[in-house]
Amino acid sequence: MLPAVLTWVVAAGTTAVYLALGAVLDAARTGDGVPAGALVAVVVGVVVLAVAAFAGPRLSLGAVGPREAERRDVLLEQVFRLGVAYRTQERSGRFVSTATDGVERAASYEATFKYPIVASLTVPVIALVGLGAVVDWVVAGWLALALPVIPLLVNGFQKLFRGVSVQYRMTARRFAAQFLDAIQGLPTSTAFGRAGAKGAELARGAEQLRAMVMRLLARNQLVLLVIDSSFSLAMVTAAAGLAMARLRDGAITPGQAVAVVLVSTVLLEPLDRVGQFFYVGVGGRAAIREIDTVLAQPATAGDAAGVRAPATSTFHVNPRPADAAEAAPDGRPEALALDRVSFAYPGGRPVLDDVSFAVAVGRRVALIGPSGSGKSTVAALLQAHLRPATGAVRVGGHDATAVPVDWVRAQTAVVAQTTYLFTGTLADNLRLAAPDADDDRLWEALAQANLADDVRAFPDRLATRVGERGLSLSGGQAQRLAVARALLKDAPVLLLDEPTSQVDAASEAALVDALDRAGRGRTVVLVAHRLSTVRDVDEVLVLAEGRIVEQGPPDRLGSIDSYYARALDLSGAGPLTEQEARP
Amino acid sequence: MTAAATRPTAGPAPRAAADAPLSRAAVSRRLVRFGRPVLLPLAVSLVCRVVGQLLGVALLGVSAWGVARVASDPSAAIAPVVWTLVALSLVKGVVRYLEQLTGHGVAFKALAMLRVDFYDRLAPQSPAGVLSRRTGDLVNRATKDVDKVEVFFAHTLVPAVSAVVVPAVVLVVLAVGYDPVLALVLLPFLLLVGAVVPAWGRAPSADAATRVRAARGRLAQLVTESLQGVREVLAFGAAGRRRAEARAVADEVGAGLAGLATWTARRRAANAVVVVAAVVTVALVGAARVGAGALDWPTYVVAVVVALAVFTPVLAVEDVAPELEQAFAAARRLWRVTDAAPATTSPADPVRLPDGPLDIRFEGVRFTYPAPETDPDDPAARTPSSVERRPVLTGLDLHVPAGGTTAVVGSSGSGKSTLVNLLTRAWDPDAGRVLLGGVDVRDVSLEDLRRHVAVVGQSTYLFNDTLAANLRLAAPDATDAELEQACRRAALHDAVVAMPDGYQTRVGELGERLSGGQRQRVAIARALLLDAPVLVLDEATSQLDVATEAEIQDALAEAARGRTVLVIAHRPGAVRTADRVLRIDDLTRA
Repeated sequence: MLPAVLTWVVAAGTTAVYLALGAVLDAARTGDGVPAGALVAVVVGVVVLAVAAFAGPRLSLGAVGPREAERRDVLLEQVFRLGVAYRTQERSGRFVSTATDGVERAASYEATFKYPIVASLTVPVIALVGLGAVVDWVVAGWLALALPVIPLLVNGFQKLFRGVSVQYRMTARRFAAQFLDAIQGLPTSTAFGRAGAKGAELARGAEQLRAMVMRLLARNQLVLLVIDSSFSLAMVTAAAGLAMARLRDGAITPGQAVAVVLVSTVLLEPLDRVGQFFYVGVGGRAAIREIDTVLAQPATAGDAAGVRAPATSTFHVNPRPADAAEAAPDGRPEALALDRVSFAYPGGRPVLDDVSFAVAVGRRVALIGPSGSGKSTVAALLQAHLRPATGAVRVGGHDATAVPVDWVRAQTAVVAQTTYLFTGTLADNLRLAAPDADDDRLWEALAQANLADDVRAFPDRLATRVGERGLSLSGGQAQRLAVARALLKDAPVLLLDEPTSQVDAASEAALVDALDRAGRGRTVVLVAHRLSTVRDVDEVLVLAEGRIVEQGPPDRLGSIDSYYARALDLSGAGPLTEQEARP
Repeated sequence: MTAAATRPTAGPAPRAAADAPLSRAAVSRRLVRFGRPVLLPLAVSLVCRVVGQLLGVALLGVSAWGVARVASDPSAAIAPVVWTLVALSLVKGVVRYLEQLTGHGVAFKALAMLRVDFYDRLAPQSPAGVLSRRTGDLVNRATKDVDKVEVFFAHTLVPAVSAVVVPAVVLVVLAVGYDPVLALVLLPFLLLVGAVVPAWGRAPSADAATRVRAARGRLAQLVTESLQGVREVLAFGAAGRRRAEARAVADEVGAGLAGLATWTARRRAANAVVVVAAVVTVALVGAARVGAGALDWPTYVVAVVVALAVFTPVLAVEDVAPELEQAFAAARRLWRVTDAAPATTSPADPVRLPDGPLDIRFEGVRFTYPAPETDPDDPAARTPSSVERRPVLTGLDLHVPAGGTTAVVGSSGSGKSTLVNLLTRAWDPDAGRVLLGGVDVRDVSLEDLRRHVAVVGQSTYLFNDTLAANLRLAAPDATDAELEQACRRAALHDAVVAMPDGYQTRVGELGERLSGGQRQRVAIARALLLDAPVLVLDEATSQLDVATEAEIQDALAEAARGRTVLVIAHRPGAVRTADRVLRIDDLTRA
């Protein structure tokens, strides 16, 4: 609001100076000295104008940063709420552009355009009031009749442009997408010797789209012609005509008549802003829509109203036995369970169909099955990344929907197929799991994860830069870092989601060893399609097409004709026949 | 000298030195040379703008003249003056329309030219020039920097020129037709608004802008990583910490923006004051001259009003000046990419590869990847890596006999994929040579080489086009029947037929509508269509599960028939069909 007021103050100051100049001009005509009152008005006007012209932009531009920060924070919060399900390859680029570019455009629009433009559009009112009070209400009154033309024109402009701007933005986006596709696929085009042909295709496409946009604009920019001419007619021409008429009638002095002409330039102020509708306005509003779309996404798994972290759970009732193998198999409390769970992705076929199983505290269970059988979905359900369509997921004895998602996730440490390393130091990446851990604790976790020797060999040790721009760890080292993180998190459940699938044979041993150590004294769920890591488990669950088809201790399943047995064969180095490959 | 001389491989260069080679004048010259095709519409746009702005000045001048005439002769007719103003208003509208239209024409033409040029100059550097750059970096340059240079052609050049031409014309008219003294009085104010005020605080503003850009870069990375690493963030309950980090960086952005806002506000306030002061000064000096009899009142009045009107075009400089700076910086950044020399080029007198099966031979090959480019414009890439570049291959010998399947296995980082990069000449070895069919690959034209070697890699890039178009990349003239046959052999045909649009199915951005296994089968079908005598499978199944991998293996065996095949894998399980399996560590000379 304040910037808008300041815009009016600038207009008022400017108008005052011009009106005072009228008196100066009159004095020059009659040969009198420059009137002192006019000089005082000029000085006061200039000072007020200077202060307001500084404060206005300072306030509105200065509001951009805080607005940006707020909008971005809300978006980040939303992304964390949307969680893993939202992170797909095609969305990540779009989201990042919304949270950076989009936020910048939206904030700039809101802070420097949305309200200031209203102020600009109403500036003529200020100028006319000044004109009426000092010079002549008749001139001001007639010019005021033209004022409603401004909102009408601006409105009409917006309406006319709405369709075009949508079409224009779609075309522009297609043009940009085509270009990026060509750039990103360049190595592929090169491999097939088609880089030149793709370039020609790009140039042709660009030319077509350009011709399309120009046809669009040629018609619609005619609005500009109308608006520009209207302002010149309604403001300048009308002001000059009225000034001459009133001067002829002797109602105003010659100096005042000239002042009317000078003040007419203040009336033109909205004109500059109208043109900006096309750029700042359209871009800003589109960015806000983009942000709103992200914010409108429903979270797949969120906290129901009023859920609270439970005071007890099966993990705490029965503390982790020191040696799991010696504990009695029966009578153990349940750590994790799926109870008649069915799940389907929106619009897709069912992924899980009436799946039930329970894992007792301290046991090791393997979940195997071909890709697409629903293993990853089970893993996601256990971490409250997804919610079942029917049935219940229980963690620590609690229905996962009855406790906060943060609590559910806090119970499970995960080592997945690949480990994401954030840009920063190795220590930063470890402290993600335990922000307050001291270096000794980090080293201890590294030692447990078989990574301490590797880290000691790095020149910067814990301060080694990792992540996209740093010295990257090998795949095996990154996975062991994930194990170290899991140890630092110290959660009762360890979920291993194909942790060795991306690791070469040489570093697999060290990783498997680290995983074994990490699983000691914890409930372990191992998800795998390769079987080299499925050992020392108490039970094997075989998923196929969304159902548990086989279930039992590994030695029993291994001896009968089962998927497990066939997969065991496959993962060995033995020869492969076509029939064997089919589950 | 152009930026082509500053090879990125020259190692870390200090910021000033890397920026130095292209002066502003040189950048302008090169931009104008590049923009030759748009110079004509640009000139039309400029003429329209100059005429339009002169009409704007005339509109107010004629108004003042009309008022002065009525003042001296109350019986003078008003209507002709009003009709003149109406005519001027209409013509001004038409001229402004033409200016905008030609301006947009220039904008889109320039954008198309810049993008096509960027692609055309990047293409010869591919694949090395694309693969060795950071993921987001090329895309960033290709979008943001190209846009900024486009703004230069579309919205900067014309206002900048007319900001000089219009006041010059008006001043001359004022001096010659009205009063030279008042023209002289006006001149310093025009220089203030046109040159002094826009330059005021430029250095601190540029510093603040750099800080803002650097902080925004970090923010973009933070946002990207928060999304890509969302699983980790949630697993470790780190959402609150990530948001706090983002807010801290956003505060830096905010502080920089506040600094910029202060300077912008100062300049705008200064301009507003100078414009009013100019009109007041002209009015006061003029009044004295009228009093002294040196000037008649009507001339004086017109001069005062024109003194105000003339500032409209000059005020645009304040907005245009920073854009000009940005466009120059963006152009330098673009050229740093486009002017880089390709890692490999075709020889002047290429040798033709022999017909029939070809064997592959690596002889004493040494190779170290070139250091990544340090970029003075990108704060994140500015710090040169202190780590010694480690050679990937140190004297490697390998023979892949013609017509057989040879597998090379080894741990990650042992240089297996480098074999493919050297065979297809993404890079050339530092020492030793790579022979294909007995011919050094450096003696073969790149086109010929790539026709003879088909690679199926770990991941397959699919263009956002139809499946058929993606397949025809390998064989543009292939008939539908040939596509179908290749897809049958790659075990893809049935899946394609099951899709709603069959071969005309659009695969989506990055091939998102196909599964990983289907994408790999597209890659195999492409390799079959290319029908090259040499087939390289570089971890072609590493992203797939056992069952899918087994299915693909059949397709791969089919593709391998009658060709020289080099299989690269980290686990021996993937290479069951090989005639021999070699460990890469055993191939290196001691």
